Amino acid sequence: MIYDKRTGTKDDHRSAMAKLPFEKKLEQLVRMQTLAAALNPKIRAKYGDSIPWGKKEATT
Amino acid sequence: MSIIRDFEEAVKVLNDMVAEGVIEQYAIGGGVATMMHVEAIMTMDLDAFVEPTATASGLVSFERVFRYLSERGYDEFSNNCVLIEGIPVDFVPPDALAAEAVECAIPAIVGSTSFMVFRPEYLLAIYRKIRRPKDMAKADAIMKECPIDMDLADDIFRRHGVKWL
Repeated sequence: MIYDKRTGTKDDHRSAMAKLPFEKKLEQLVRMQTLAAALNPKIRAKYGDSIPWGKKEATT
Repeated sequence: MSIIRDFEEAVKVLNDMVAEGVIEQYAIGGGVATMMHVEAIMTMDLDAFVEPTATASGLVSFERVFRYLSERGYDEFSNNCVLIEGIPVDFVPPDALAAEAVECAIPAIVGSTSFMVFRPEYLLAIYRKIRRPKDMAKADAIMKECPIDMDLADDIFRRHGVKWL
């Protein structure tokens, strides 16, 4: 449970996370994908360059 | 982060496909649609539910979709998904339940671009129908984390023969 200072009420943490803007959730998803690819070779092998999502910047 | 811009560009391509008559309509289902209604969850592709074109032989095909994408330079595939702006998009032919979910989809916004997503009541029904452990977990998250129109959900479950438990 987390405490909401503005309303003086307690809110369930997951419900609060659910209310985040979609853009924030997309950023969280990409962090999760990056971590999963770093930690799990099976995910790396299966999804390769398609994770994390997003157009890859050219590196020279 | 560029992911927001890339995602926005990817859904713009889907919107363009509707505007240019390549497809009649689409709606996003699966993990991304779920994420609109609950906290961020892990997913590996963007499920775009699109009615495929029926061919003369009776088979259905996404050939028109893939040809359009190829002409725009999106011809790279990863795990059966076409990469649009680096987002793996899985074009999924809907069954009766998902087809209704497409018809009743609601608009969502990323950046300044609107796109169509499944309502939570339909996601709930689809997950309860498929019933894999990961689907049941997503169904539980929807029940706990977002407001559900229970009358609508009950009607969808009844008409499509989906069990609540």
